Amino acid sequence: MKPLLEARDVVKTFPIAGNRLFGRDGRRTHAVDGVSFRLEAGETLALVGESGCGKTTLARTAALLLAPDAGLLSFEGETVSGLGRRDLKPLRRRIQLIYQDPFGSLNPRLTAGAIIAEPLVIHGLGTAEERRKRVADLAEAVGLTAGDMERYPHQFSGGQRQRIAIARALAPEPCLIIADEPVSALDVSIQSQILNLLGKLKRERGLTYLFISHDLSVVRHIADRVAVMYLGRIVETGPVDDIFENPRHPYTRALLSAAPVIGRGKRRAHETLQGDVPDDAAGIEGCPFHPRCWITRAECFLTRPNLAPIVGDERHLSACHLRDEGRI
Amino acid sequence: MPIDPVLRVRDLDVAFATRDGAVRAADGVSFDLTRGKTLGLVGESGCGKSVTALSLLGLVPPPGRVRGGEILLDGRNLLTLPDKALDAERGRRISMIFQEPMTALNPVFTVGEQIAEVLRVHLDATKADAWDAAVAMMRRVGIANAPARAKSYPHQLSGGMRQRVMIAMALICKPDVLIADEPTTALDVTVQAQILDLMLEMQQELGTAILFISHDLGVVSEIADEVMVMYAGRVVERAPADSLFEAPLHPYTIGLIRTLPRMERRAGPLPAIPGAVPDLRTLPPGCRYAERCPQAMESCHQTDPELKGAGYGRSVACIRVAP
Amino acid sequence: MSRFLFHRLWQALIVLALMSFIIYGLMGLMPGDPIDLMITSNPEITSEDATRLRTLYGLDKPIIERYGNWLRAAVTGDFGYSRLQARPVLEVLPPALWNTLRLLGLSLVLSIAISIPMGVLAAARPYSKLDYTVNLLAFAGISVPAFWLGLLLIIVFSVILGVLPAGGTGTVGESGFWDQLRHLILPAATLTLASVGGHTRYVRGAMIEVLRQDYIRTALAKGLGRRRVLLKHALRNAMIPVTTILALDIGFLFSGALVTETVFAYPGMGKMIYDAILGNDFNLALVALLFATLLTVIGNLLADLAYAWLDPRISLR
Repeated sequence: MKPLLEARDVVKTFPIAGNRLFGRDGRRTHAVDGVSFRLEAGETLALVGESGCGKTTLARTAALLLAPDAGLLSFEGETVSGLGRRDLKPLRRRIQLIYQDPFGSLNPRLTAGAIIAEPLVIHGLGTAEERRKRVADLAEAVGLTAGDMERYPHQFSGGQRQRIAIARALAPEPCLIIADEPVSALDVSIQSQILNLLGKLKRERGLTYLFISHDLSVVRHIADRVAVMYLGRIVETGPVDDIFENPRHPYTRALLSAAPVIGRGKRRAHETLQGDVPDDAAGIEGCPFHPRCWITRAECFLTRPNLAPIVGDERHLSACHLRDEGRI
Repeated sequence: MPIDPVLRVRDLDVAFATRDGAVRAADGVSFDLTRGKTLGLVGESGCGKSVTALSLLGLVPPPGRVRGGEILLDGRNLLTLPDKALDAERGRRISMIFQEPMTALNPVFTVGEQIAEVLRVHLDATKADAWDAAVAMMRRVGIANAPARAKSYPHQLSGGMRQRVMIAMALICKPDVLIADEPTTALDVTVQAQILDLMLEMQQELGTAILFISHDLGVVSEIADEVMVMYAGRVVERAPADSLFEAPLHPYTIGLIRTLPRMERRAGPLPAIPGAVPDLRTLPPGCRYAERCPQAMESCHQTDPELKGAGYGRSVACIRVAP
Repeated sequence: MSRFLFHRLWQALIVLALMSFIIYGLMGLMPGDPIDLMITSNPEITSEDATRLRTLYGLDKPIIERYGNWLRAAVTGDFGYSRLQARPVLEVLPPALWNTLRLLGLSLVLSIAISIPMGVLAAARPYSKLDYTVNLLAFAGISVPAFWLGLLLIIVFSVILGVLPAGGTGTVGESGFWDQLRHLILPAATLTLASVGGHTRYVRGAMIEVLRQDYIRTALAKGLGRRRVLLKHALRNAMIPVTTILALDIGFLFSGALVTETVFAYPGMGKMIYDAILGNDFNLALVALLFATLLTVIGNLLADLAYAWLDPRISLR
């Protein structure tokens, strides 16, 4: 069956502010450096990684906000990576975004009702009366009241604002929702409410989620599959339980060790990954992770490992030369 | 033999003057800090943890004011010290590191200069000596290439390195107390782990008492010996870390721990705490958590529970648990 | 860095060339020409004389051609003659320029010396009585028109009290340093008082903004003491926007000087431009205005350089 969203060797670069006085020196940073993945309808794929790994850029490219510099992006079987603005517009209905900052993503001058109705207005869906009804339905679906629709964003709490954002994303009846750290800015007690809401909506409406998060416990909770990113590339991907219990890439292992867990007692230093994330992978020969890796072999310094399935499990892929040598 | 606490806080009361009256951001907070041990202070936004931390150093921004209580550092009450004396203590015997290392460092001075400054002001060190000591401290906190890095400006360093600089700045005078206000919240998870390791290491070496503030229970569980939970300005529970996480007593603590998604395995829908944190300007009579508490009784809405001992070094503010 | 400067020099030349064209055109659009003025002052000039004079001076040619002629001459360094003063323009400019620079320099220094401490003090204690007073005085300074202030000062100090001269750069017959200084006091005071209000508000605003920043809290937490935090950590950051504004103000002060110089009959560039325009002295006015443009461009350049020098996050591009 055709995947809902597919990326093949997608590359997205940005110019680096050069030090030369005028004229750029032509260097570009590869925010997304050859990424391929498939997103099947009805599943939740989590993109995990730290700052600079490219997950946000990848998400924005998948959301059709950025055009890839190279590679192919297809949605519902049709290639979308080369399309112009006009052709992209109807597709935007089907792909919606939810952001991290519940305040920044809402227009402070519009009422909650107007914010939720906005996608309907933009895509010309329904009459004013129909839109009003739809807004009321959506409000209820996300746990807000009809009265709330007349209020302004600053009058709501963080959790409520995120609910407004979710309602807005649902308004044009999308099939794919891309959520960029949707609960990171919320208090823990609210986070669970929102996660539960997202899960419920997904089941009720048959949605597909591309979910970005740096919080591994959230990822474990909501994801079906996980893709771990490092320096613009996917270094490991697979079903969520496999990734968490049987990591086959040292970076994944490092993330799992670093994530704080209740009940483990105080930290033990020897498990920690050292060093900082380098600015970009250019200039590193072989595997981009080898400068920080503790299990390197000769080939790690010479050839860049491909993202390939591990022996025995087609769905679990790792970009590590040691991928078939057992759990890392 | 019991060790004397190096910092004792008693009945700290911090209020903000607003148009709707005085908002009690921290209400009757008391705790002790012991040398070489870490007290974790946990709570969600608006619980008063940051305000409590800031008041220890006299940094509560107006319109906030410390209205009562005592902060005893080795017997001297910091709240009654004149400005000059307080300045002598700050950075020297009691230091603080903050959440956002980018904005917490002055962008126009080199990091070496900012660290050396502490020594020049507090210990009258010469410029050269202070610089050398600053570089040595940077090396000690794990900054590679320290002599060159010391001449860098904050914007040229990564988030993790900036936080190491903050730690170097805070610990260079070997203070008795270190207050860390969400020091790892803005950092990537692997960097967070490095910083936590560093803090534990430095604590071992210097014997500093740490007050670690965070909204992240997981982080606190990995670094704290004892944990204090705050809600709407009050301390609702205090216990040794192990006991708190294994067997929490206060309904809020229980709810908070239960609601967290776990990395070890996927659960069904997370048991969420209904409602939201009360507005501090319109607090209900009685227990502040009663509205959201699944175990609330009639009397919970009438009496405001006090923090009472519950055995084994634990205290709870709940009339069900500790009447 | 040298590439940056080269780039800016190039830009400056383009701006000046463009400005020369615009000013020339604007002046050409003004009604009347020097010959008309001659006619009004000398009724015996016949219309044939007028036509002959116009041809002589090239005033009958179209404006583009006249501009072209001027430009050709200017590029070789020949900026023509000042009609009013019957001397080459390049001879007339320097003394006036020197006078204006002295005046501007003194008032800028005074303004900075007053506005920085006042701004810092006001920001250190916001909404206190001191702050309100400083704000009030600053607004007064901004609101008061320079010429009115100048005239008021003349009335008080020259007419009533008789202690300071009412105008000019020097007393006839004297040429000492103190005499020159005495003549500078009132015009400099006027110019300073006219600009110090704005400057104080800039400093206060910049300081308040800086004092809200996290790094000030860190500095206090380090136990550095309020004074050191204010004067070292805060001021250094506040100076970044303030220096930029002050450098940009150089161009502005120049036009403020125009009014002041006229009130005090102070023979600087401002007064010279004023007289030249009214007297239709094309050449002089044009070159003087171009000079004013050049000063503004230099002011901009200084502002950028200062900004890059003070703020390590900025690199020149």
